[in-house]
Amino acid sequence: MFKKLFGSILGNNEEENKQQQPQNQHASQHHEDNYDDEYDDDENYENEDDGDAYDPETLHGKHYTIDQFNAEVESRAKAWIAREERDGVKLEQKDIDNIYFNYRREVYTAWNNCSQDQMLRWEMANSMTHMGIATSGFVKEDSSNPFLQPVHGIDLRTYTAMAKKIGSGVDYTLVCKAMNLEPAIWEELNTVWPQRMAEDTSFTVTTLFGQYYGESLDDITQLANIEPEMSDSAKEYLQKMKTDPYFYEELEGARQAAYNYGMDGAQWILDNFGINLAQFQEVAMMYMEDRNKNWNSNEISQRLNHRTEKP
Amino acid sequence: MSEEKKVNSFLENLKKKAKEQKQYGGETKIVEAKMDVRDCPNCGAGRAQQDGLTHCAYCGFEFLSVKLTDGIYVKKEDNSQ
Amino acid sequence: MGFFSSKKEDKLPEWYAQVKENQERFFVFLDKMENKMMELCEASIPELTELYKNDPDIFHREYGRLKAGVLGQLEQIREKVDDVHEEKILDLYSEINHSGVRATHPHYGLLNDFRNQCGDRYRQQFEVKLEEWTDKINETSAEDLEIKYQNVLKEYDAIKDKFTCKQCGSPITIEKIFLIETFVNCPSCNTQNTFSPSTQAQMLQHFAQDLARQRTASLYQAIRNAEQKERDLYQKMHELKLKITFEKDKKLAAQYQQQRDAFEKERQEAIDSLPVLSEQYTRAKYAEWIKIVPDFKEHLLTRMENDLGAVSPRW
Repeated sequence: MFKKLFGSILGNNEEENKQQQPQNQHASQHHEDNYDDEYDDDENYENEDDGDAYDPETLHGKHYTIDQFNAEVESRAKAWIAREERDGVKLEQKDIDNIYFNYRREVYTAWNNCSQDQMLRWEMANSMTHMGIATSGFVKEDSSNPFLQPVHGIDLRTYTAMAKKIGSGVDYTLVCKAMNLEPAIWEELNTVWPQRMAEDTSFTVTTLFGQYYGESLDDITQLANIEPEMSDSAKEYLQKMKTDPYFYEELEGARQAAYNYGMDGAQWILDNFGINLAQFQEVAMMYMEDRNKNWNSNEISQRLNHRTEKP
Repeated sequence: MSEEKKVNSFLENLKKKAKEQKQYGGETKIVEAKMDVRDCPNCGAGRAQQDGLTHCAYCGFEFLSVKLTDGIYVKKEDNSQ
Repeated sequence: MGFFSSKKEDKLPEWYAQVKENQERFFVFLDKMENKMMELCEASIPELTELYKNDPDIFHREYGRLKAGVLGQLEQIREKVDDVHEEKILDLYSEINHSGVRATHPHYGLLNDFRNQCGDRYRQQFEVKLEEWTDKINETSAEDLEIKYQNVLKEYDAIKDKFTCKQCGSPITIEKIFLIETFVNCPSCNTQNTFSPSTQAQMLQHFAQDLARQRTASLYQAIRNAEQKERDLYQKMHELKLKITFEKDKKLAAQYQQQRDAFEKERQEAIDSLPVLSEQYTRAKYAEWIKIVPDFKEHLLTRMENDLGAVSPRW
């Protein structure tokens, strides 16, 4: 299953692709092009992480400008679209988006002679510009974004910190007290922020919420000192989870497996390791962000395999 | 074991586990609607609507240390002057 | 045998026996898995339905765990099938393909048919059944939200005049169903009291969308029907196209073509109706949703605009 999921993340999974084709094409029309050559290793590109070749912010190569890049994508996409239209094919917006998506990948890979991993890192760094969708690890707080204006004076980061404390088992009245807020105000925050997440089609609010969740947030001093009770061994497990990605994958695998066996996975982790859901999610977010920023398909697949095998 | 028996014993086991395990977050409390009031802990005065929600109109005690914006029911007019 | 089967070389290749065997065994295996799925679900559905009704927990967590367990089993069946499909079908295909039976090879048709027939059996039968069972398992928590909603309304009627100001004791009428804790003003002494709605009333915002969906389900079904119609017509057209290709009688072929054109017209109509149906559903759903939780009107209108701009309809 993970293999499949993983394949679909990379966008090169034969079966996923097949599913997305119209169901009723004749059988012999599928698979004319084969996937035989698709699993080329990335080993030829090992020198690419030198860092100097790419702009640290956009991850575009430095030997061309973004305008040049866009112009190239534009001309290839337009030519394709024109050809399709000449053939009488009716293109929908999503088809056009797809054409651009593919040409962006193609041009980037060709111009930078890079691996698929590098291409994916670049794609995530630019998901907002390309598709209007935020990717975890790449979003910055933008004070002009109306979705990010504080609610009753509480910004998203502070709201996240409060939600995290409450999620970790601290009674919400204590959290309110520490912030000098009445529960009625907390309930407003806890309604308006999720509403904004639902309204924001770019997922910036949701993604930032997740990013903050992965931070320690101890600089929000009012909340820094209220902690749920935790045993020494639980503290050790938590530390291990933060520093040993394979241990984290094991727990994540076990947590999911617990659900499959009629148990509450969050409770199972709490019972066995003393780690609560909020603490668990914090570490999960930390790894997710790290994964996006340093996309490395070999390592990801190794970790996912570990998740499914061990427990 | 026949397939049917296997299914049944599996299901029984699942049910047992689902029943026995504690709820994450503890038992849920079902509460009735209720009304409350918060007097100023500093001077004991009540909190009047025209004085806003954030500060005590009499002694200036801070009920809420935030600037209210337009939320669901609480609006920016609810800031004390 | 498919259209790509070889005419030039009538002798079957030596790998063919292996391919045939794997295919037959794969089909038997799928039958078995489908059976297993059916037995599990048929036993679970009454249990789940019963548990949902009788679980006193307002969040139905015991039910939720049992359901997750059953769905987890289905997922494991799916994973197993996926593994077998990969190992016994796709890997064998690749192996033979790599050994030189490429697209231009005279026996490629046999190989390609093997992969496609297995793939179709897997996707179009097994997966469809799996989805149907999953839906049925999920439906065990279906409840009449209208009743749940009426209970909230009844409760509100019963309590709205029961409260007094904590400061001066004058009666305070709760003016509407508040969705979260908030401040209410005493009309006599102007004191800000805090009103905290009951658990039941606080749940309203969480099931409001499902209730709105429930009320507009027929409009949603109309979208699904149009999509299905389009697919069915496409299939029929495809069959006709094959018939036309192989039909030697010109007159008959022309007849088929005529029929095909008629289907195409109908199919285009179905496609064109989709955005209209989709908009109808979206507007109706949000109108109901806003009726249930009017205090979220502004938020819901924003979301409605987002949904109206979306490429495919949102449930």
